[in-house]
Amino acid sequence: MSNQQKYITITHYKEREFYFLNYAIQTKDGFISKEIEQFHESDKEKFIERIKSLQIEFPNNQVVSISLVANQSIHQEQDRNRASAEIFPHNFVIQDKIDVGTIPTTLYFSPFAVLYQQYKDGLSDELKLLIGYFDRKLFMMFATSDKIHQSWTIGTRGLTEKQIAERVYKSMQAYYKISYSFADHLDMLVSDESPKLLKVLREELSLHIDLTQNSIHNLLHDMASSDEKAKNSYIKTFKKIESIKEKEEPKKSDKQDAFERKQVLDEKLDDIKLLHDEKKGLLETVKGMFSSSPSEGTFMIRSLTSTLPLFTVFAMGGFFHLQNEEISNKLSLKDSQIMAQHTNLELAEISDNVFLAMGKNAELKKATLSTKKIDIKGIVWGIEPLKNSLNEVYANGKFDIKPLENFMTEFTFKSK
Amino acid sequence: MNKIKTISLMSKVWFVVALLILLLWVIPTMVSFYKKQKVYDKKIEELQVLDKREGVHFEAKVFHIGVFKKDAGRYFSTVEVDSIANNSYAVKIVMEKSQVQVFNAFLKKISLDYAVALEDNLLFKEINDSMSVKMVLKPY
Repeated sequence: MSNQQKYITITHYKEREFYFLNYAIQTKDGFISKEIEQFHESDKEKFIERIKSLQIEFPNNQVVSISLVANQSIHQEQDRNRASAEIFPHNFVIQDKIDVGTIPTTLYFSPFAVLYQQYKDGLSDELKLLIGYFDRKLFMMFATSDKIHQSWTIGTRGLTEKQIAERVYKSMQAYYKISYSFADHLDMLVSDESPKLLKVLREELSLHIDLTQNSIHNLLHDMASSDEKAKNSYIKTFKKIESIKEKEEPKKSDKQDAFERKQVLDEKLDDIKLLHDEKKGLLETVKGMFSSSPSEGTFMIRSLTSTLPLFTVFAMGGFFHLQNEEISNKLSLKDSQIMAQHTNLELAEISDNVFLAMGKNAELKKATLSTKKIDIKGIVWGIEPLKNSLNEVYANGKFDIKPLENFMTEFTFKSK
Repeated sequence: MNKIKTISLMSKVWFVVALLILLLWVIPTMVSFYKKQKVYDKKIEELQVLDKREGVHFEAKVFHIGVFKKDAGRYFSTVEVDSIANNSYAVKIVMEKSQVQVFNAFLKKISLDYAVALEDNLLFKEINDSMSVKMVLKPY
């Protein structure tokens, strides 16, 4: 078979600062993988050139990649504003954007899609936790044969195996709290060798764990091996493998082709049937409305974003509440001060008036002054002038005089 | 419109709650604050009219017996301050009879210098050719 006819899958992904590239020749009996190439991110141009040269060498190709970002999760509904792919009826992997940039890619998968593809045949009515360990992140999903109920992404960088196992267990507990279902079976797909993690998970969770270990390249080659598998791709307008196969096998009989089409159709119908069989209870619906499928990064960001108006309003309200309290206190103090100052000024004026009225006509012995009334007593030298003066200030006041033994005269004056 | 439809229900709920809080709490509080601020500015102006002090005008400070006695002692021969019931202070000032004008001037600035209100009652009494005044101050 010439290179023109061979169907190859070119797989690449980025882990930390390196791009990893591989290609495999797809055959009826599986794929034949070639050597993995590695490019530093500073050699991105070389990496892209290598992909393009492979595409020229093998025109019948698919360039396959995987999203290893943490901000992806499985939702019940499609989000048309974000990159999403249906991996199962009413289960969509959603992430903010496609992060392959300028790198050529025709198929782009989520670890969730790969994970589901790997284990979908083993799913039953019993709740199962499927974990994919890619790029030191745990892509976890709770699934039964009819749907994926919940998903989480947990970063494990810097954590010990025991801490990872604890987080997995906490995720199971968290899921139990919202669904009252506990996964008593766990399947794990790891892209790196991590026997210690598996051992600790088995010990900590006391669960039977089915482990599948495969490289990301092999998983991607497998995902792009047929159209049925490849349909769980983020990029919707990807090249159909079926049409490529037709080119690859031009002599294939129409009868066989029709048989394959029927098989695909049957599987699609099975999916639709499952969709119709899915009966949502009221509780489930309500739970669905309020539960999201939080991935490690997005859950926090989305929660924060959605509650941002609330926080802003609370912050504003809190600020103005405090300002209001403060201005109320200040206002109350100023009110008291103004009232006190009015009283003081009035008393000072009364005192001034009384002493001015007495002048040289009298001498004060005792006085009680208030803004309402005055009561004064003293020695008077000029009775009439004093009486007139006081009456000018306090009209109709009660003025009395009393002769003393020492030939002096005492006066008293009370205002009305 | 499509964008609004795609917003999750929880986000919508948060938004509605935020809107309600904004309308029922934040805006009324804000309006109340700005109203009080306006009233406060007017009170400041009113107080400036009532302020007969000369020179630099300081904000009223918290009443303190020692500070008050020291201040009043600059003008009068004897100043006694006793703490009495109801969080008040009985003040007795003894001065020469000729100092009545000074006392009246002092009276006009007590509540501007200290956060105290004077009880509406002054008791003057002649003692040995001097004049004593008793009054009650109550911090506010």
